[in-house]
Amino acid sequence: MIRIELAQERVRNGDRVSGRAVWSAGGELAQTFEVVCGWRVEGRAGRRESIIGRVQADAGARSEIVLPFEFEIPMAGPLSYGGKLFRITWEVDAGAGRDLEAKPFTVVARKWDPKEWVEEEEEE
Amino acid sequence: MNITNDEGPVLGSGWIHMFSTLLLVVSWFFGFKLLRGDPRLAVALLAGGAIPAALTVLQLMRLRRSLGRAELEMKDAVIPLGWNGSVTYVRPLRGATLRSIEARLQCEERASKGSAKQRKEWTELVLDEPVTPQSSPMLQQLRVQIPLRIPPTAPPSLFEPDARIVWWVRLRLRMAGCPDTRSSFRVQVVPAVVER
Repeated sequence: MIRIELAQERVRNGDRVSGRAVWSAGGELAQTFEVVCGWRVEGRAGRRESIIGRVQADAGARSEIVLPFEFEIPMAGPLSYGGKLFRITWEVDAGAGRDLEAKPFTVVARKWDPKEWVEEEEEE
Repeated sequence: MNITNDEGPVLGSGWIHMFSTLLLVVSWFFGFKLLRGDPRLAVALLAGGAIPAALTVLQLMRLRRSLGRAELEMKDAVIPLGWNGSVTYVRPLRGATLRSIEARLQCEERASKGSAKQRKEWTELVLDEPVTPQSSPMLQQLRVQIPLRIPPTAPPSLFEPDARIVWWVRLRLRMAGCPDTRSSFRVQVVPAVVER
């Protein structure tokens, strides 16, 4: 069984989403316990996923693993969105063997600071 | 100062260009094929097909002579959600005069699937608001202040391969002394919000 605990369910782009994922073996066998953070676009055009980060731990012979995570949401986003043709969903997924669990969270716009976006353009 | 170029369509709704070009291609294709078999019909097809295209070219030439290229001046290259300010529409005037101008702020969702011939595309407006432009009378230049307000809860611009969100400032100009024209400018709205 997998349980995902998020420290915050609303995160601003450029900030970090953190928490921990707990896997209890309960008779199931797994080699690794992995936590992935990403977003997906789904709608009229189909479905596409993008992963921004992952952490993993060897399960070995352990019966329980607690895996803390912290992922940085890119400044460029995208933000969570529900539109007419598509929607964008952010999620932390955890998996060990056949056990899978997903926890959605919301990415909202960060506070406007013109300097940040000048720097972003220069980097591009 | 950041300058954005006009994406038109400069004449009519854009269908005029497409229709006249399509008609020219189709009529010339069949016209040249018929040239040996039925020369009279072939000449009629070639001439008939060329008329709308020639008229479109003439209209475009008249427009270009009377009005220069349009540009949108913005203080910054990007604007945030919740932004309240104005942008300036600038266009050289050569003898023509502006009768009226309409402006709209639009946010458009675009989804696409497949590539090349199999490509399908969908477009939906998620925001369409009239704005009130203010033009200052000048002899050789059209200078229009356009107040914009980006709603704080609206989506920012998005450029993913199959999902896009595009913000537009669109203008429709009714002119005297040259054909009516339109302008469209992309505005980049970043995922940041002005908090008051």
